[in-house]
Amino acid sequence: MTQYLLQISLAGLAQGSLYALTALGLVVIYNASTVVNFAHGAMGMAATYVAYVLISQLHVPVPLAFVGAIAAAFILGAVVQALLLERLNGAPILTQVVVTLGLFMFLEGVLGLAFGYNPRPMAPPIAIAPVTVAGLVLRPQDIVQLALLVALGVALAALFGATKLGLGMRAITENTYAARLMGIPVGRVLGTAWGLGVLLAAVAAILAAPTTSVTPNMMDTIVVYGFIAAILGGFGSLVGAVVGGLILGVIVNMIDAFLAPELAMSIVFGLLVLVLYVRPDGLFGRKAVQKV
Amino acid sequence: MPRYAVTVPVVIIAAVLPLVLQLIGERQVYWLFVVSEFFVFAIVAISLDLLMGRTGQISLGHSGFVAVGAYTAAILNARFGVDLLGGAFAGGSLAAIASLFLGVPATRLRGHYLGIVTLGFGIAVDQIALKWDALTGGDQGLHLHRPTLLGLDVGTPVLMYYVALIALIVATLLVWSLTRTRLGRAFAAVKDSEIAAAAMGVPVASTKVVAFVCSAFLAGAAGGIYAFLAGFVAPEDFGIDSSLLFFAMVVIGGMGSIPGAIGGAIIVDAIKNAAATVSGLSLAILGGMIVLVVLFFPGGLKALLRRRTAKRRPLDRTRNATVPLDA
Repeated sequence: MTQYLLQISLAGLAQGSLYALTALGLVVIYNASTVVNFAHGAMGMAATYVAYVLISQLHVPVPLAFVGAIAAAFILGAVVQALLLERLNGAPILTQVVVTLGLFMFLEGVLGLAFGYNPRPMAPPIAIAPVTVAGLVLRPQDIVQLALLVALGVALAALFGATKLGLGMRAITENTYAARLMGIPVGRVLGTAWGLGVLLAAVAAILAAPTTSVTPNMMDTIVVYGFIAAILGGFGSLVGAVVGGLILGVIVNMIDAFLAPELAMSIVFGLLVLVLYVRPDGLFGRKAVQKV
Repeated sequence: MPRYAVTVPVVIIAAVLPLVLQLIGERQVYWLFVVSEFFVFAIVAISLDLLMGRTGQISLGHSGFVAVGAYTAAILNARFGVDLLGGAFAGGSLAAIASLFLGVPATRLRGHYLGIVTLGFGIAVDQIALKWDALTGGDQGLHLHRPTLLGLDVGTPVLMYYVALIALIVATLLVWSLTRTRLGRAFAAVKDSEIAAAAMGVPVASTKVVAFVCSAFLAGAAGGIYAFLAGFVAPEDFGIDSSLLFFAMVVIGGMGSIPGAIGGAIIVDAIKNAAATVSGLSLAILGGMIVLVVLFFPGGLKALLRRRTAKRRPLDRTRNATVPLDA
């Protein structure tokens, strides 16, 4: 029984690493621009279609196709920031949420029009047999997912903590106007933050693609769990997003195994409402002070 | 131009439409259903606008309330033979109770969390409706008896058309009068600035909960009427897709306006029906429209129309100047 529980938790951690990657991207964007990007999953999905087209129609080698897709994701994020969000600087939160939702619908619709809703298969990039460690089965993609999460998490922490770009992002969060006066190129820094955030969504989407197949709504479930992971983590904390994502992955896997898989999201949302009722700023969040 | 100069002709046109369709004679039943369905959707759009446009609270799961209302009406009708009025009222009431589940935590949530929690509510209602098949019929759905209203048989398409039209008029009048009460002004105050509202003595938390309850009641009642109109309810009618449609209606129509919500409902419903055969088309058009509206016509349809009238009547501009267009 403990073996079974451990196995489920391990698979949950691997699944949770996708939620964590998605949540990390949301938090990077939120930290810089205070916008919750409802088009996050759709943008990651769009990048996956870039990889799909490169691999299956243009026969580009797989690693090169992934690099291309991730570069496309970065550009997509920066362009969306420059064309849409920059114009809504200072608009109410509701307006910014509305525009990202519109973008979500637009991207899903356009890719649905272009490729249809039939799922298109994407082979896993590494085809080695699962390894067994101490009786626990580890699939290669699980290892890749967890390793990438750790690597990208550390890289992001270094970026925010130790580079001028990260300092600029934190300054903009604190006070955009003052940051501009201090000579920080606000537009460029925000564009980079959006690019990085969407890049993380694209990594999550590409990792998910072998399991979910490539469809316009492949990221819908993952991004909703990504939102929840970010909220649990306090929407702003990188560590919180990672821990929130991993915990959520384990919880979802437990629900799938022991309760009702069809009700997984409902149960998770019930839990989220409970958590928010007790701790409105998430498990790791600091209390937000409202300013006039 | 006084308000009734637009409203009265619109209501007259709506009232004689079945007659016109009768004269044309082609696919009359289909068109009656399409327009009746639009009336019901317009009620939902008005209810969502009460929440989003008037109180500034987002809901991405409004079809969850519609589903609660529709299933309540369908179950009460199929098991106990409750009539349309009772079904709509019970549906609205149960949706209002369900909204407390959201509205109470919502008072403690920062703005964008609410979008995610309401989205989750919509998904949860859908999942529960599918899973709890002993009550809801699962993916088989539920059939209703022929609709009656206060003992009268209203089971023909024409009579159901008038029921839906009258329901829309009643909903419009209800919301219109509500916005002119003390509570309605409290909604507006909360929307403009929660801190300022609190400083003026508006109880922000309870005002938000009341806005949720009112909005959910209307949406649930509309769901109840929808169940009788369609004669059948199934989970696929109430997914995230339809929540997004209601959301699009309010944004495209222009938030904070009843004519805007109705106009938005006309546009969105027309696009949905016209583009139904090509999957993805309506989603792409509506998403693109939402982005364009937010960027270039922040007041939506409402502001476009109002700008034209304002040009014709320069004296009246002061009245319009107090309406924030960037909502």
